[in-house]
This record gives sequence, C-alpha cells and structure tokens, in this order.
Amino acid sequence: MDNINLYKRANNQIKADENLKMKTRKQLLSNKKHYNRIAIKLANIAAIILVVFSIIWLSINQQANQMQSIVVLDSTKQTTNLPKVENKEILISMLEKLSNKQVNSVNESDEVSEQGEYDVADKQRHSDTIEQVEGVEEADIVKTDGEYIYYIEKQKVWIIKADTLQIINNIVYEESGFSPSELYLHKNYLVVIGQSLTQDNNDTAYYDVAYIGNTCALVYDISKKEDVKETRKIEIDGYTIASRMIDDMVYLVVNQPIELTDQTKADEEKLKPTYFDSAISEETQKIDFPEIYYFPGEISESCYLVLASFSAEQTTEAKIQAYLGSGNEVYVSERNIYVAKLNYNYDLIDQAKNIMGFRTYNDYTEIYKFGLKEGNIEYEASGSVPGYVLNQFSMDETDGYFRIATTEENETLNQSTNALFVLDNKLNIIGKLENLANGEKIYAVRYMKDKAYIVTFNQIDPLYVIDLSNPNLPIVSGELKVQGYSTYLHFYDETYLIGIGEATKLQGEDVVPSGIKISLFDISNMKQPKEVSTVTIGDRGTYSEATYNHKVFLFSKEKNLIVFPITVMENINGQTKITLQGAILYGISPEKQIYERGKIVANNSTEIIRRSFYIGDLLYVCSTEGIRVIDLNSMQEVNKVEL
Amino acid sequence: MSSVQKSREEYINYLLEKYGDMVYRLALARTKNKEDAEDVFQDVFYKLSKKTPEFENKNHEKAWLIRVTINLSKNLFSSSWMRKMISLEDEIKFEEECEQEVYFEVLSLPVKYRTAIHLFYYEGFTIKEIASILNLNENTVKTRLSRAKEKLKTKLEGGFEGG
Repeated sequence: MDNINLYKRANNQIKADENLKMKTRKQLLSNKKHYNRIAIKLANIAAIILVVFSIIWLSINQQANQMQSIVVLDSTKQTTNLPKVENKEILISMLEKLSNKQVNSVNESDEVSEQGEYDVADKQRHSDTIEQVEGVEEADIVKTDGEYIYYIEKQKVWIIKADTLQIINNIVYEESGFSPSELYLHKNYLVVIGQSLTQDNNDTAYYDVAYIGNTCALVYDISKKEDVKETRKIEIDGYTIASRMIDDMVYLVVNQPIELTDQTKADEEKLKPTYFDSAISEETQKIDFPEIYYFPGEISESCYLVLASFSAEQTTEAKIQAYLGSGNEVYVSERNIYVAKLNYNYDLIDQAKNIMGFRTYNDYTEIYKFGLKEGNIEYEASGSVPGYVLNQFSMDETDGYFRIATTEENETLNQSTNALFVLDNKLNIIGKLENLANGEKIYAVRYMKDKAYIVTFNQIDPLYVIDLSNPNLPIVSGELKVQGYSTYLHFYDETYLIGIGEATKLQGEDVVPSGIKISLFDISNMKQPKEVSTVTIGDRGTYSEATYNHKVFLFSKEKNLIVFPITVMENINGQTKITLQGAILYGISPEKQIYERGKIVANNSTEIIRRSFYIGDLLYVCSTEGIRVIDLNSMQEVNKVEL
Repeated sequence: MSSVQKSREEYINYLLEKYGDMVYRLALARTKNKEDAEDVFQDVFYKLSKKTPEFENKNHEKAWLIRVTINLSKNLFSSSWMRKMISLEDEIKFEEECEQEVYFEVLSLPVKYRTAIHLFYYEGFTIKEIASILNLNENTVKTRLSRAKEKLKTKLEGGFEGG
C-alpha cells in the first residue's frame, strides 16, 4: 500500500460528526450567527484555575479595564486624523500581535435592499431597487429604466427591450474570469460589479491562498444598446462587503485580507493594499504604508478595509483609501458611510466571571464613520456598542443621530439580550435602551423617523415599537406578541407595516417553523401595535428567499402588489410535498386584509424565480431561465423570453 | 430535481450531507485542530446559506466551498499554545498505524504544501483546477506539490508517489 493511498484511507475515516452537522443545521435554520467558541472553550479550562484568582482580582481588573477603555475612547474622539501605518515594520509588528489573539471572521457580504418606486420623467412608472435610505441606491442583479431591462443571468449581462422583450445585446465574460454579480444604472452608464479571478502578473506563490475573488467594477457606456463600450475598470483585491451609489458616485467597501508569511514579510510590495484603476494607468497601484490608516483600539483581523469611490459618468481617478481593519455590515446615509465590525473580548477574566455566574458579554460592534463630501470619503469618528448587529437595517442615521440595535449573546451562560443605542455625530453613546427582550434575539429592525420597530423572538414574536423622540432616552412605547416572527419589515405607509418571516408552532416543548408568514401590522397607535391581517403559506419546509434577502421582495402600495419567490411545501396525507415552486402575488384590500392575487409557477423544477419588478401595469418576473411578463389587470402572461 | 429547488431546510441538509465531510477534512488538514475545524465548518456553511445558491454546475459548487473553506481557515488565528494543549494526535485515531503516520506527516508540512497535497491527492483536483481555486498560476501549484513530495520523501519510506 503506497503512502498516497494511506493518506486517502486515513482521510476517509475523518468525518464531520453528526453533532456538528446537527448544530450547524440548527443554526442555519434559525438564522443564528455562528460564533467561534474556541476561546470560550479555552477559557473554560483556564477559568477553573482562575476562579480563585479572579475573585480577588475581579473588581480591580474591572476598574482597570474601564479606565483603559475610557482612555482609548477619548483618543478616538479627539482626533479625526487617524494614525498611519508608516512602514512595513510597524505593520508587521501590529499584525503579529494578532497571532496570539484568536479572532473570528464571519464576514457577511450579503447586503439587502428593498424595492421601491419613483417617477422617471418621460418614462413609464416602474419599480426599482432602492434604498434603505432615500437617495442612496443599492445594487441588484436586475435594473430597469422603464425602457430597457439589464439583467445578470448565466454569467452574462443581458440588455433587453422592455416592451418587446427583444434581446438587444449581452455582455459575455467567458474568457476573462470575471463573474458579474450586481448592477447600477446611471443615465447612460451601466456599472457591473463582480468578482474577478484574474491574477495580475507576478509570481503569486507568496500568497498561500486566494481570496474568494477580487472586486471588480466595470463601467459601460450604454447609449447605444447594441454597441456598449467599456469606459473604465476598477479592480480592488479582496471581496466587497457593500456597495452604494449616490448620484453618479459609486462607493465600494472591500475587505482585503493580508497574508502575513515569511515571504510577504520580506517583500513589502506584497503587503501593500493593491488596486487597479483604468483611469490612472494600466499598472496595478499600491497604497504606501504612510498612506494607510489604522483605527484606535486593538486590531482584530489581518485585513485592510478599503473604501473606494468613483464616478460612473466621468473617468476621473477613483479615490481609494485603506485602513487596517475590516467590516461586516455597512449602512450608508446620504452623508455618511458607517462600517460595523463585530469584535470579541475574550478576556480570561471576563470568561471566569461568566462561569462564576456574573453576566458579562463579550461581543461588541465597532463602528467606523466616514463622511461623504463631493465624492471624497473622509474618516470622521469611531465608536463601539455592545453586541452584534443583524444587518444593515439594524442601523440608521436621522437628524445627525446614529441609531443601532444589537443583540448580545453569552454563549457560556446561554443567555441573550438586546439593546438599542443612540450615538451622536462623534459616535458617543448618548442614549440607550438595554435589556430588551432578555433571552431573545433580534430578527428584524426598521426605523422610521423617531421610531424603531424591532422584532425579537424566542417562543413568540414580540414586535416592539421604540420611541426615539428623545435621543437621550429611547423607550419602549408599545409591544405586540404574536405567533411566529418576521425577518423583514417593510412600511406599507406611515400607519401600516408589512412583516415577512416564519410561522411557528409548538411541538412538544420545541418551537418549530410551520410555513412562511406575512403579516400586516397597524402601527398608527405607537402604544398599541396590532396585527390586522396575516397569511400563512405552506407547512414546515416552505422556503422563501425573501426571509433573508430583501432584494427579492417587491412591494408597491399604488399597484397594490406584494411579490416574492417561494417554494411551498405541504403535508398531504402524511407526506411532505412541494406544491408550488415559483412566486406568489398578494394584495392588500381596502379593509386591510392580505389576499392572494395570483401565482407564478416555475416551468420546471430547475427554474428559480429570482426577481420581479413592474413597468406600468406589467409585472416582469426574472428567473434563471428567462423573463416573463404578466398583465397585472388580467393576471395573464402576455410575453416571455428565454435566456 | 436540482438542489436549490428544495426547501431551505432540505437544501441545507443536502449540502451538509454532500459536502460536510469534504469541508471538515480540508479544514482539519489546514487547522490541525478539531475545534478550529468545527468553527471553520460552521462558518463555511453559514456563508453558503447566506449566498443565493446559483452555481452553474456541481464543480462550481464544490470549488466555491473549497475556496471558502481555505479562506476562512486562513483568517482564523488560533493561538499556537492552545494547539499544543490539545494535540490532534491524541484526538484522532486511525484504524491502522501506518495511516496514522502518513496522515500526520502530511499535516506536519507547511499549510500551503499540505493544502496542495490534500486537494490534489485526496480531492482529486487537477493542477489546473487547483490553480483556479487557489487563484495561483499552475507552475506555482506544481512547485508546491513537488516541494511537498520532496519533504515527505525524507520522512516517509517510499515517499509520496502513486503506486
């Protein structure tokens, strides 16, 4: 038996154990974030030894820690001029400190957006991917100007005439190693953002592994649809965690991991943040160490946070900055970018305290704020709050105040609690509401002006209405408990709120999902929110992407339309079967009851409905196989095209 | 029926069943630590569940998982003294002693070499495929494989050559 076969045989005996799979399955299904528990396990061992020690030192350490954090915070507040890395040696020494520190890197890059509507002069009214924040556009796989449809499918960008569904053109990337993932449309320019796997020149042996891909943005002049021209290309090493477009300016937030090895240490070029901008030259650009900033406080990951801005219209140089750090979730207002980064405090003393029954939490979210001024990105402030954020909807900026809702989890004690913080423009916490729904976790957040709507869940779904009219004193003004929970909230108008999420039922002692649920809440009385209508679709196993990706959710009050893709599972005579694969259309009656308007059934089991939007009275449904058009008056399919 | 049409629950089950062992083995080969491998495992599937599954074909699905596993195990900085505390050799026992020996000799290679060995010999990827997964050029992959084999030659009787 040769050694290769022995290696194979050895590996065949290694299996992910069922417990791990079960745990993972549970976490994924409950949408719960996974936390790295190594440090906790480690601490558990250490803590036993440390218990006596820590009792004595507890209070002293606590005070010392607090003092320390105050000092750090102060330095944050006083300067908006961040320190710079300066040279390779400083960078390496900073990164090497990390190797003694355990960190996690759940980097979520899934950004969500909602569908909205607006008027385009001279064109038909149509829905568009917008905007957690009005005026701040979000990318999607399909865009329309009412006349043409731009759609990413099968690794191509399709340009299709909306009224006839005639395919005018498609942009193909077969050879280039570029994979398009999202679009922006600005006047006669189409921005295609994706990942490129092309490697520039040099020997890359220094890098042990590749990233998921490099972020690449291509801009096309689409004034002639049949002859689109690439006008610029920007490539940044690393992966995009978020992008936005405000007017013609596109903003990219990218995590660029730093590979620290003996080789990269020897060659400082390999350690520098790298990008390419066709507006500068055909050469790859490097950012020098004296131009790299770092944030106050501890560095938690061997990574650069790269922020880029460029014009879709002009071919002026992109503005690109690098910071030592990284981000998880991004919120962008018209004036600022907020990058939230989950961090951990795995102090042994904290862990020992936990084990001894003192409740301390270890996750905290660092927030970095960057001002947007005429396309420039400027660091403004940083701050931190306890807990982690669910997604971009957990954050909001209104009247200069930054609001952020977080969940704190204590894995050791299996406890959780939630909070909402109000921060001033320097990111100092000026108001907070803590101990919200102890034992539960946040599943959805939405802000409107001086109110926040928060869904938490453990057994039943409380919808909290938080009054933020006094930023120093956020308070719970109302609360509603219903079965199931929403994972996305969308305002119907100022007085009604739509929730989509999972229905649940009690099975023995366990709460189990029992289909997809849409609810309509009356929020006119902030003290007494009411669930006025609810529809449950299917049984356990029913699945909709809308519960975690809101780009698939289409809503229009004017068209009386709610559309989302769904796979319905029903239990028929003891057997669970797929009874619908496709999408469902709902309307809301004048009596504020949700009712079904129609169904879109997939042609076959491999067709997946990805997005829908409307132009005038026509609903366009984009799938993996093509686009079909449905007349919203007759609910009949009137046209279709295969891609 | 293709995987993505099934319900989310079924889809997750499918992925875990289909790729769970593959992800775990690679994570273990890279991290040399059960806890780390388990964390990577959960991170990988979490990431996958957040991504709209739109792989062109099964090879893409597999390559994506491998790439993410590598990426996530790279970003995980386990403290080295902790690894010493819990030795993998004490935790994993193979049926045959010779399997044990070969496995741990491969794991004693630097991470980029053992990754190449694992992908080439265990997962059966071609050099071209590995190059594309790791975003390296093919010569680099070849070099890594031959260096890895050179190192193993000094440690294992018979080296690491196919029979």
